[in-house]
Amino acid sequence: MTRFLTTPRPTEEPIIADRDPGAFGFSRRNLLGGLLAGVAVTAVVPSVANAAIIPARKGGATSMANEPFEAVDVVKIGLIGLGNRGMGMLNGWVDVPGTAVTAVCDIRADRATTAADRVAGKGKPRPREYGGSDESFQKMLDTEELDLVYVATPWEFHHAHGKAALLAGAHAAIELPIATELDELWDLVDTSERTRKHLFLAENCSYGRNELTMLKMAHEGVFGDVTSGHGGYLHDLRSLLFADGYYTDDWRRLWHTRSTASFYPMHGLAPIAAAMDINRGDRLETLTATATAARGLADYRERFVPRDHRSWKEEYINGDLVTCMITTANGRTIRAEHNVSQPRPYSRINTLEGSRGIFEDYVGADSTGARIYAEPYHGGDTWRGASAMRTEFDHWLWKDLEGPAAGGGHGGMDYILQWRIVQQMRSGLVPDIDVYDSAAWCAPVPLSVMSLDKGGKPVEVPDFTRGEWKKLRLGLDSTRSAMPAVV
Amino acid sequence: MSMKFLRRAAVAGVLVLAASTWSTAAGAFAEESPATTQSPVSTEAPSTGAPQTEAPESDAPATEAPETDAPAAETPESAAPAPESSKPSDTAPEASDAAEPAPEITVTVPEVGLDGPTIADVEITVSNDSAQKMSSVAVSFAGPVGWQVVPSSQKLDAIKPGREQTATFQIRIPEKRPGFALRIFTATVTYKGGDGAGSATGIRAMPTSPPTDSLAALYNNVGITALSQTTAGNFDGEGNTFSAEQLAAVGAAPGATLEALGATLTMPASQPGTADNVTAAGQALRISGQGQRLVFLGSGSSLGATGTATVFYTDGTTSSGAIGFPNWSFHDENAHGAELAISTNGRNRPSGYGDAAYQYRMFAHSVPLTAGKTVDFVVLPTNATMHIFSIAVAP
Repeated sequence: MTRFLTTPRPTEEPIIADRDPGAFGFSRRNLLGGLLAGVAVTAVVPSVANAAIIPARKGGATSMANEPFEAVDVVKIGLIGLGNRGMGMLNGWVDVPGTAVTAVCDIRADRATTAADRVAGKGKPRPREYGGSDESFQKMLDTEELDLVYVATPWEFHHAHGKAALLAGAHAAIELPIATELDELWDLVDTSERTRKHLFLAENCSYGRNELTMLKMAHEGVFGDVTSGHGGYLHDLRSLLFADGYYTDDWRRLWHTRSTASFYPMHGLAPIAAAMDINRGDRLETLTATATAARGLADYRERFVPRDHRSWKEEYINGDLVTCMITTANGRTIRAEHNVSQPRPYSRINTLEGSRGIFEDYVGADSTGARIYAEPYHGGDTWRGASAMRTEFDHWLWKDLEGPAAGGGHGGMDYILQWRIVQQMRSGLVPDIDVYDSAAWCAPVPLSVMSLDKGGKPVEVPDFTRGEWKKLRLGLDSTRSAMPAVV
Repeated sequence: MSMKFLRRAAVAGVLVLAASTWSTAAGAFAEESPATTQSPVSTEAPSTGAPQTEAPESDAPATEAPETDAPAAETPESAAPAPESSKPSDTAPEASDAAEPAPEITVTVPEVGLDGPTIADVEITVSNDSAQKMSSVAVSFAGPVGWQVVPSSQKLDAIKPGREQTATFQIRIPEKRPGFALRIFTATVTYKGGDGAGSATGIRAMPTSPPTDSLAALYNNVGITALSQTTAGNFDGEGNTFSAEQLAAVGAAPGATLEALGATLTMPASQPGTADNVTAAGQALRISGQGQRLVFLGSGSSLGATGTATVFYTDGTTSSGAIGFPNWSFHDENAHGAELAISTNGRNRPSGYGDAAYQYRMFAHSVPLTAGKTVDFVVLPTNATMHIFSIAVAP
């Protein structure tokens, strides 16, 4: 098995370039939409039909939908990837009741040591350290008996690290995206089903307070029959992308040199998909992508980056704004946007509309930042700040955990996510987010490339559930339950 | 706890049979067998040889299902009665003590647990008590608007006379909310053969809590302010309000009474600048008494302040009617069938009193009550531009 714990460098072939064509007859090279700066792409574009293929299950595997965790008293956690995100989540994994961070891993051994020091500094047993090579993560998985592996490595390694965690007998929480290609997404679905272990996107924004409020209002029928949604990830990352050391080995900026994909729309797409019960009564069906020219990063570099900086060897091919229009089986539409290359205030958009009302986030209407208009609650064609209805429809997780989550990362979403994962594992609950949700939410990464390569024509979104989407399941709008007491 | 409606709808909407039960013992709803003898009915020309009775408007749930804290679930057009006249009427819905004939094709919706969030299985039963086999049978099921159901419809095998079949649907039940809401679940079967009617519908309406005892407890809007504090209210969504001083000048001070449509209505006792009206959102209000009609004092903050009010009686039956208020200004005073009750000069704007050249008004409208029945409670329409200041029974 290929094990990656290095990051691609601009002067080297992407690590996936020599990979054999995948199960669907196309290689990762094809799907990335390009290679290096100035390298012509002559790849064969995968057909629409390929995206729609549902591979048969093998070896008697069965669905993981509605499959509960096996309950454990203490969740033993191993971390792979201790950069900005991994280290940022470390405290939460330590602090949530009923956890034990028993192993930490990064290709840079000093980071593992720093993480272990931090855990020990909080009065917890010191985790074992793994690092120093691109095989370190596998050594950790082979050595440790882990219940949960949290992966926060660069995107190109998520598939390999997540799959290895499943094969090692652990559940896997993967940062965005769980994988970047269709064959990898299917591979993670199949591996989860075969190993009976859950793999899911660690999508903190699914636990945002406004997002969960929007979800509960949708289920109540506040918006009537939901017909459309709009989400995305609009975050000016230019300064971070060019900040030496922030993204190790420039991994994130390099994606802009070799892919046309909508890299990271999941923060906005996932809450909309949840409110539409995607994979729980509806499913994503087709995707059409458009992309603007790639201007933002080059413009920023021109103005702010010294001429001798290595980034001047790069050519950016990822459109500043990549928009995916997605249709669902039940006739809804979703617009998912990605833009990290232009100046703008932050937004995940979070707009949901139906036959009787609309919710819009990031508009500054009141302290929630959101506004709403819904019949029969409101009249006069006048927006209302969302605070009153957020109080009424607040999710139990926020009612119960607002205090502990306060001060946590990303407005408390990170802690809520971690608390809920641990609670589900300790209580033997069905996970709110499963491998099918995760695959569907991440599918726009490869599918946007496919659509763009076809001049913006629609491509089909695979049904990763293999038909299970037709059944209703609870998901994020969950029933209140307590964290088991720590013995 | 439930209220059940069973009805059969004929093709082309000519034939509708309805029955309902309603028990309010201890303020609760109790499921009963269809109390068809208590249902006010009227008859129309039958479309088949089967006994036929048109659904009484007074006995069916409103076309807009009243819910306190959620948009209403609408009954299917095939099953819903036409709204009653919006004009005030002294003619109560006609009651009949004659027993309705038992329906030949019935669709039974079971009780649905409302304690969500959960996914519930709902088993719909289709019974064939006609003399002919039912074929090409298809069943659809729906809950309140926005509540997801799968599948949307199902086909059933043919049903022989005297037999029944079931179809199971999944429905997503949201978290139970405080306050009154009437959750309406509707199943419709289409078929060939059987009684020849072509379709039949079963409805189950389930309340989530008892009605509220006083209108003041439902007040959720400030529509009247004093000159000393004109920013304290927002009748129209733009911060404008009735002027308390101008209202007093025409005899409509807090707690004053006025006669309209035969009822004695009482102005809100609220002090100016405090909540004094309810924007209609399906709230349930307990009202006791008998009379010719139920009268509402209100005004519209749009040109479309209309809806259906449903009256529930102590004997388990219901009646409903359309009401509407003209816009508080710039609208025909008889729009929607209303009657002008109060007219004042000018209004309070956030900046102070103004628009003195224009009239700002309140209106009366009513729904007829069934003669001889005692009102238990009323469920308000679902239209937030409909502001209701007072409600009373006209003897």
